[in-house]
Amino acid sequence: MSDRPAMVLDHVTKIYRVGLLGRTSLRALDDVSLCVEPGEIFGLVGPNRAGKTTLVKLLLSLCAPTHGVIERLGQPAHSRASLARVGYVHENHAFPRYLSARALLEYYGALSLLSETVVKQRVPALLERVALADRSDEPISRFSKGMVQRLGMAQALINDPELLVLDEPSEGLDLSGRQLLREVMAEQRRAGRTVLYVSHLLHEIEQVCDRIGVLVAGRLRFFGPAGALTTDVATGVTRTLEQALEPIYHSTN
Amino acid sequence: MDSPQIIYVLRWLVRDTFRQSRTTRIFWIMLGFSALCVVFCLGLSVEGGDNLRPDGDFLIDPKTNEPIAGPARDLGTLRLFFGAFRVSLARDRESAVQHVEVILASWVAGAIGLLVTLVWTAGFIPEALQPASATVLFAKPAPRGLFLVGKYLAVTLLVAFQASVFFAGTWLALGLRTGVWSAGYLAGVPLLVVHFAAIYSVSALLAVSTGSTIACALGSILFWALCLAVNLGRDAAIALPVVAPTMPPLSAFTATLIDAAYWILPKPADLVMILERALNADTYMATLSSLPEMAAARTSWSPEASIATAVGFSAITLGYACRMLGKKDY
Repeated sequence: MSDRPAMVLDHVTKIYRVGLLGRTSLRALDDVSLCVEPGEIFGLVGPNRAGKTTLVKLLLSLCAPTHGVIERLGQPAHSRASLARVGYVHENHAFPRYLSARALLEYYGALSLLSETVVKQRVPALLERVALADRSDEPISRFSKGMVQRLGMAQALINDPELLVLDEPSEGLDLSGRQLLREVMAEQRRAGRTVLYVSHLLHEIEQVCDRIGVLVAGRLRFFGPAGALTTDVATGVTRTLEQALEPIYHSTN
Repeated sequence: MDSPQIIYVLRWLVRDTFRQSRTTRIFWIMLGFSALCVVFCLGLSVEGGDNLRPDGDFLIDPKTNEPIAGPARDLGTLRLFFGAFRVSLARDRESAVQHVEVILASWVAGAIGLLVTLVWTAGFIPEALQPASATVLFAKPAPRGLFLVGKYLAVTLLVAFQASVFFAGTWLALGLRTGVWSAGYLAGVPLLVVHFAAIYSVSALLAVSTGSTIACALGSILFWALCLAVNLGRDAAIALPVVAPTMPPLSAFTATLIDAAYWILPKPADLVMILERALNADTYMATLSSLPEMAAARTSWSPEASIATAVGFSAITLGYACRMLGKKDY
């Protein structure tokens, strides 16, 4: 594993062209700079339409920045090679419903450029890990939302990622699913790997993240340990992250 | 990426597309329709007609320019639907069977089959490129272009599979029942696949640019009609001084424009004529190429160039679609 930052955004701006002729512009991210170190669990929070998913997409090369530079695992984001060391859990997976869980993991393993032997080795263990081993040959169409989400986690771990990107992964997960998610993040931390965790579950963010970033209207309003927001250094008074974020979410500057 | 990795990814994309197709009803309907055609061929037989040559001089051997017509010594009967219908032969046994093969290849497979296949497969790529599914796929290191090429190849292979079942099944059934084994009929498989691949490349491009299944289906059918119109129009333009000498000639600009469009676009009519030629259809039926409008253009016609244009067009269109997909924001 490299000692270089797991992700770097340097003055990144993303403007979408919308409308019939693309004449209207939508500034989804505005001059965002941040650096996440290897082994860190970094939480990204913000109200709806704050630009969190855009930041994730930029990091995963799903779209290109309008301005600025992005590095992923020490390499420029436009180089796809480093994606082989990244896992991604989407908030709302739409997997091909005709595939079985096993076939899906084998398929996604192939797209992760893993060898057939490695895929065959990892798939049973992963299915076991996400508690889908007994349903591995059933079509995904018969799965509940929570099961699909757990399968989504398995596909993200198929390449044993150095950087795990979780975009609202708790969506549809039951208690055991959330427990599994916490265990996965803890395992990543123990292995010295990085996690980018995007969520609205602020108490969970507060519990597991080393540092957080707060995005509001495309701008990074805070970047640092959650404790810096929840504890008033001068008075020693503590408050919840939700209370601390409320004025930031509603600020206009 | 090295070659084994590319092959491994492509293999998975093909496997996935075949799985996807098996979940659609049309896959089974098409196989069922092929089976019906095989049953139709099994129910077809020819009695007599071995030496039949109708009187008259309209049957000329195109190679020797000698008449091959002669007195009808053994008037045969074509029996359809296991003998339920009988048709007196106006051709000898081999020609009668080949005539059925031309109809099966050009009309059943080449027109109806192709149309149904274009509509059926129109949704395959747009469905895979929907943001909810594509975001996870494109967050994998396999290039987006490889994904699109893989899907395109997979759909083309799927059509090759369906075409092979249809052509091989009907060829075997006709051969077993009539003893006529026309190897040229099997040329219908690659010709149909090349034809489909050229039109489907436009469907792939529309899938990337619009993401709409309806746009892909309508767009590819309209494009097919455009190609056919340009192909026939160009042949007619060449034949104009021959078939209508009193008409004023086309302007140089119009002639160049039609010629350019003809050489750039796939040529559906040419591909039909290649198949007709493979089945020696000129000797026993009025073919597309025997029409006066076509005949003049056929003097300098190269079947290889027609096939190469279709393949080249597919490659360029697909390359452009890959480039567009590579730059698309998800």
